[in-house]
Amino acid sequence: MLEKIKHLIRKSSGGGQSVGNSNSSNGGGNSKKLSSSTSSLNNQEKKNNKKQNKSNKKLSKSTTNIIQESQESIDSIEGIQPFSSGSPTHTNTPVNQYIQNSFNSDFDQENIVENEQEYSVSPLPCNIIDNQSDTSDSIAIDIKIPPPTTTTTTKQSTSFLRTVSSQLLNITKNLKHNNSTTTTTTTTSSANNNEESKEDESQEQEQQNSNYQSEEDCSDYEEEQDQDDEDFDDIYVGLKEIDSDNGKNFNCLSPDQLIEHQHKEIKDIAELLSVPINSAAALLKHFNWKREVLISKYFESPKEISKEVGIEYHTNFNNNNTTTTTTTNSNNSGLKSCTICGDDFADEDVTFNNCQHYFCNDCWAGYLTSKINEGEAMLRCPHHKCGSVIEDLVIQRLVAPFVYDKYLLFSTKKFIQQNQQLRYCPTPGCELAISVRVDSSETSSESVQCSCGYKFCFKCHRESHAPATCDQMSLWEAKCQDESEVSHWKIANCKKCPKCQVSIEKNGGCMHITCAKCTHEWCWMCQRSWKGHNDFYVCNRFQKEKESKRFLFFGKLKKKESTEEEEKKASLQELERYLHYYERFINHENSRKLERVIREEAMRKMEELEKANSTWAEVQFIEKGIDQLLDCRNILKFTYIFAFFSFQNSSQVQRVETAKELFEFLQEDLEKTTEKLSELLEDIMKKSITLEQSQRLEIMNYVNFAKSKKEGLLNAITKDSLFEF
Amino acid sequence: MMNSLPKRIIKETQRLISEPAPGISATPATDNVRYFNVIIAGPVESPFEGGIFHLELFLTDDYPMSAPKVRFLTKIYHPNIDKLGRICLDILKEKWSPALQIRTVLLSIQALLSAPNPDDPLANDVAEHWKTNEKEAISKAKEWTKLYANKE
Repeated sequence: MLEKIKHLIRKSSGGGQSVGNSNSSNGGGNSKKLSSSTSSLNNQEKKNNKKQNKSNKKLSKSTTNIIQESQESIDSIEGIQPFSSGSPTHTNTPVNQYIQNSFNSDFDQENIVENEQEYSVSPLPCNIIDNQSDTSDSIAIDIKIPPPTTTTTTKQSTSFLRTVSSQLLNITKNLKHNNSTTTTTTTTSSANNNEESKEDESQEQEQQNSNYQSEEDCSDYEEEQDQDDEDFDDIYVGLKEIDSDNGKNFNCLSPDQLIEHQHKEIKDIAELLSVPINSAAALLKHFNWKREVLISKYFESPKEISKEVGIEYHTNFNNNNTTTTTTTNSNNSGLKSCTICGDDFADEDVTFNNCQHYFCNDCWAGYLTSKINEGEAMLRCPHHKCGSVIEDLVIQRLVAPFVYDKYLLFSTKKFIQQNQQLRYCPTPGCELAISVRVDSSETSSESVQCSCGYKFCFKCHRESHAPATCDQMSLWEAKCQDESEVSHWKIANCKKCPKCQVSIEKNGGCMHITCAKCTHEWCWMCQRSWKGHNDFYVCNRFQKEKESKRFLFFGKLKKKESTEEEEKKASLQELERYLHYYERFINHENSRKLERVIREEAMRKMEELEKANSTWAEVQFIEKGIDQLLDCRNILKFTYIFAFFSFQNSSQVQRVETAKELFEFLQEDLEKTTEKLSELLEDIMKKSITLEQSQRLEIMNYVNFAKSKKEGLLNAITKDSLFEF
Repeated sequence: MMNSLPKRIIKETQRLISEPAPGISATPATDNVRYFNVIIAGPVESPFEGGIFHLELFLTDDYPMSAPKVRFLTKIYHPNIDKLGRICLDILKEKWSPALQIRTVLLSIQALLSAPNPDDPLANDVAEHWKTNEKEAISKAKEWTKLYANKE
């Protein structure tokens, strides 16, 4: 039953702006009791709505205590809000202006709270069917949440969904024990922000828990609950994704989906160029999956391209007769001699390729396996100087299944490497790939999250590094690595491929280098393309030119000797500046490593607490806190890199200084909150089994603070409002 | 791993001995049938004419899936052969095909002696010499041939 609820909640991901219809009937046979309970709910809700419209602060005595409580707690939230307490003296410093701005956003938040109130007050969008005829406890709940109408409401609706899910938990409990449902449904309003009502709720839950324990069938129930909790975990993961991927423009692809993806492209090309599927695959691989290049070149000179790629050229090819011409060309001569092993074979033991070259099946297998193990994605006929492509079907028939899998893996890898919209998840062992809708070259940096949970930057494949940009990251890494052994070795022994920039070590052989990654052919000496490189002398002269230029450069430097002192000073300052940022960066990095351990501890602690008379929903805040903490640390870590590079431009000193001031204010603010949160969470970890409500509330508060401050900082950076003042 | 010698190697060896290619001799070592002592006579009208060049050729366990390893033992002044005797020849590297044989490899090496290719050099100094002053380089090659490739 709960399974169903979860399913429905999951379905309604990101949606649920309006939730009215409780009356949508659900199958026949609803009992009288159900309708009475829902109607009483309706009445209650209507009252609440009225009250809210009337006034914000004072409520008439006729309304229930519960509503009053929830209203009070909303007011208290207004008091808690980080900026709204605001300094009374508004001078015109950028910081204060910013605070004023954030004032406005606080009003927005208030609206959100009110909206949530409306959600929770409006009738629950579900039908509860209590099968009284059935003696068992089965209750069916069907939630009807309309599909998402706007994307802007997702944040609200997510928290709303959380509320609903916790409400549902309570409802089911109550129904089971034939309690009145009205109290719980109203008290859980705006669970995210409304701390006091949550307290009430949990107190009630505790009461209920103690009730259960007095009952005989409680053990059964608890078992079920345990299971359900696990499932609910999934929901929360799902919700989290919705939360962070609000309007996300990427998705995760499994290895099978990737192969499907390839097949689709191959089919498209086959249809477009009216060539067999196999030829289309070969063509795409040859042109590194660059459709446009392939199409334009193929239409220009199909015959030449076919020859170059090693496929047969058909005029008026009909896609229907894609028969493979293997083992069919028999000359009736009886035995055939394999030119690889030299043995004689019967017709059925040899395989012909399209080029009419044939070899025995064992030699084929040996040849193909060795080529696949070398990482070759395009296999060609082993005959000397024959470049004919071997079809996938033939390969599959001739090699062992695991080798064929390897072949597919390599081709997929190549496919992903060449595709600008696909990336493998960098987590070791994770086979998933991320596909984005926008070409990655268009955005400066894009954070994506794999289904395995790892967040990384799609553009540079590093760990997600907001707010620093990819360029800043590589500058930073280069700076940090300047002294490292690896870079020294690389400088001494490697050259970068002029085309794809991969580092290549020359371990022997001639100057003619063929890049293993992009197959670009170039000269080791001059690092230019090997094409038109017949004259060995060009390289030599080029080297000499370079040297003479360098010599001139040195000459200029000598003239500037007088300014050397100043330069020394400047570089010393620069070094100090770098160390300042580096130290802070590394500090956050280190504490983040420690907090990963804390996360594991927290999971254990949560289980522990859950066993000791707390519900799963109650201990959930620990995980939330830890996640928020890790997130904040990560952001903070990269703010130092951002700051290091963003505030060094001295052309507009005044502007940069104000921006820096504002940035540092926001950064410090987030840092303080994060530290406090870290402290609080560590306290919880260390302290014993009992969970105090006050602690819980404090952490919940700080999670929200940290979230809003983090977002404030990120917004300020991404929208460039830092430089507006 | 060497318990059974592939039929192909046996066949090739038999053919190399029974009908040797002109100017090439290859005999397997007595203790290792995968190791061949090769002698190539310097081709006529080349700077290496009259020379007797010793090479070694080794068939790896992967043969014929991977190319045989071939090296000059005799010192030779050639732009595609370095001072250790290593040979820059495409079919010994990326252009290797299992359909090629010991015989074809040795014939290719012989052809390389007739037509040095300084554009794809292995020994840089020799290649440069060849480019700047071909006459002088050829005379030096002849000199070396006399000096090192003359003994039996």
